[in-house]
Amino acid sequence: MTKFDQRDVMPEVAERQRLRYREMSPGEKLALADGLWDLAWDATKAGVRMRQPELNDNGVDDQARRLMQNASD
Amino acid sequence: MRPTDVVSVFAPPLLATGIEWMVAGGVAAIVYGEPRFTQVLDVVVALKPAQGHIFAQQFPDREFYCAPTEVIAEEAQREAFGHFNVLHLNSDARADIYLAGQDPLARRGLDAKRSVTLAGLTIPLAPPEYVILHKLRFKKLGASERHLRDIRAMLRVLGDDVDVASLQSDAESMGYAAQCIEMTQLAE
Repeated sequence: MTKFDQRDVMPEVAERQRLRYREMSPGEKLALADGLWDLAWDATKAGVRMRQPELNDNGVDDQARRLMQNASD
Repeated sequence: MRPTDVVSVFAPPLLATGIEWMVAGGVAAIVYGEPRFTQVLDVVVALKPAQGHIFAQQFPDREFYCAPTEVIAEEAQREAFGHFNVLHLNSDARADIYLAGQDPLARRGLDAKRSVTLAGLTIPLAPPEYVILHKLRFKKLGASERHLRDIRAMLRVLGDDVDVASLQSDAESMGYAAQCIEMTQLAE
C-alpha cells in the first residue's frame, strides 16, 4: 500500500485516516486490497489499450500481465 | 460491498460537479507506466473560488470528509498550487485535490487531457508530460522516491511517445534543474 506523503494531507484528514485504519476489520482490509488490485489491473490494461489500440482483449491481457511481472516493485 | 477503489469512489461525484478536472498522480502513472497500488486519487481541478459549494455538495458528510467550503474558496484563490483533501469515510480512500488556479502548466495539461475508461467509468486523464512534471515538482519539495520510480516506469514504457527533450526544457524553465538531471538519468 502506498505510504502517505504527509505534506499532501491536511492534519484532520491524516488523523481520520489513522483512526479508520485502526478500526477496520481484517475482512475490510482484505476487501480494500482487492480493490487496489482491481484498479491496478484495470489501469494497466487501459494503458496498454491506449498505446496499442490494435490489440484484441487477449492481447491486452497478455501485455498487461507482462507489465505486472516486470513492475519494479 | 460497493467498490472501494479510488476511481469508483471519487469519479462519480467529480463528474457530477460539472467542473473541469483530470486525474494525475499514481493512477495516471499506472496507465502510462507500470502497475502499483494506490489508495490516493490525485486530481487537478479548474475550480473557481465561487464554486467551492458546488464541489463540496457532491461529497456529503455521511459518506465523505471534505475540506470546509471556506477552505476550498481560500485555496482556489491561490494563483497556483491550491490544495485540499477529500476522504471517503468507509474505505479511507483519499482524493488529493490540486487547484489549477492560474498555473500555465495545469492549464496546458487540462487542454491536452484525454479520456480513459477505468472501473467502468470514462474519466479525464492528464497527458503523460503533465504527470511527469507534476511528480518532478513533488520531488523538488522533498517527497518520496516513489515519484522518481513512477517517472522511470513511465519513460521506460512510453519510450518515444514522450518527448524527453521538451520535458527537460519545461522542467528547467520551471526551476527543476536538479530534478531534471535525475530525470535525464532515469531516461537513459
